[in-house]
Amino acid sequence: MKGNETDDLFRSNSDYLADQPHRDFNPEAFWQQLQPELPRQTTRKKKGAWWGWTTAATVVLATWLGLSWWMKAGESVGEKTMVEKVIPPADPLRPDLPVPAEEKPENYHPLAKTDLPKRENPKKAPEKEVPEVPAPVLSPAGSVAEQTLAVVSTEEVPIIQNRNADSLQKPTAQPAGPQYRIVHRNDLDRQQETETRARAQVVFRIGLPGSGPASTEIRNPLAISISN
Amino acid sequence: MLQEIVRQCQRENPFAQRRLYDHFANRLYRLCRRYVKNPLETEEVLMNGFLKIFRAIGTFEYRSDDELEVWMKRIVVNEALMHLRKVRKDEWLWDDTPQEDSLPHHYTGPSAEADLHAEAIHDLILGLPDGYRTVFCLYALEGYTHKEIGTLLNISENTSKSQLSKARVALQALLVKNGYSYERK
Repeated sequence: MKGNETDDLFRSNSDYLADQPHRDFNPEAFWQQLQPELPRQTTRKKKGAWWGWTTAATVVLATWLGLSWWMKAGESVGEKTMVEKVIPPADPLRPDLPVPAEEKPENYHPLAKTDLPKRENPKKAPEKEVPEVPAPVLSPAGSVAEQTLAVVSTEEVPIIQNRNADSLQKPTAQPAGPQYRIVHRNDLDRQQETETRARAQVVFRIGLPGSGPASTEIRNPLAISISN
Repeated sequence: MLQEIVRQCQRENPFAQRRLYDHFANRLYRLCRRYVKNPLETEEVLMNGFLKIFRAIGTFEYRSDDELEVWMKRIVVNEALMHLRKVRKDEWLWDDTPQEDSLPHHYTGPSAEADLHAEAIHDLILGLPDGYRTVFCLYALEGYTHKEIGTLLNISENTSKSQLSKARVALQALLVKNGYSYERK
């Protein structure tokens, strides 16, 4: 047998056996060992998905926080529109004190929209409608405070015994500018109740208003308490 | 078909990896087994070979099925040679004396000639010393030239030719010993 024939014999034999399973080899078991070591597409996908979901959650959270902040800011602006000039109650016990002209109910008006501070981002901040200011508070006539004033002004002697003398002598300090205050109905009721309780103590003034000193010169009134 | 499998393997598609493995597993195992006699060591070499194939397939440019097979076989052969170098520590190649106990004795009787089949012939190769077997497999079965074998094994071309010649003589002796004669062919 020549050398080349030996080579051909073993080569043809090798080709014949090439795809036949070897008795010592279990392809399935071998694959189970090989598989975990292989580079996998799914691993990269999982990592990518994890990052994607994290980014998406962050964006959603940031958007939600921004929107909630914006909504709160919008509400506070809306509340500002409801603020109105509160009628500084002229001393109910001293109706003779003049009410400043600028604080008269006729001059009160709700804040216009144009007076409100504008938001910088008009796209994301649709203009909120300014809620209507409740009529009882805004309208000059019929407000609870005014009714209270009316009731008090009908009293014959609007002087409280326990009132501090200085407060009677000096006019109520009026703020330089207009005051804004939100008045609740309950507060007005409470105020009215207090005033009603105060009216239970009736005092008399001795002497005629004209016979006293000049109106500019305020003296301590002589007050006599009549108690039940 | 193999082209699409390779393309999917380059995208690390697990199904394509399995199909490529199924297509070449038996072939590459037998290839390894010709160089490494121990079954456990053969599997270790094959494992490293497949890992290198799947990691390097992204750089492989497919042209034909044959080229793919040659590329994969080269990777596995290199892995097997590295294993032999590591295990034998450079003393393995030039042991020219065939070991009698390493020769297969499956078909020693005269009646064995008729039963000699492909597996038995394949096993005859394993009866060769490591140096003979390596050079014979590289030259006769894998198609390497003596120059390439010299480069791979860090030997001269003449040494490669000498090893091949001795391997052929030893194989013929084994064939005769196992009842396989030239006249039969």
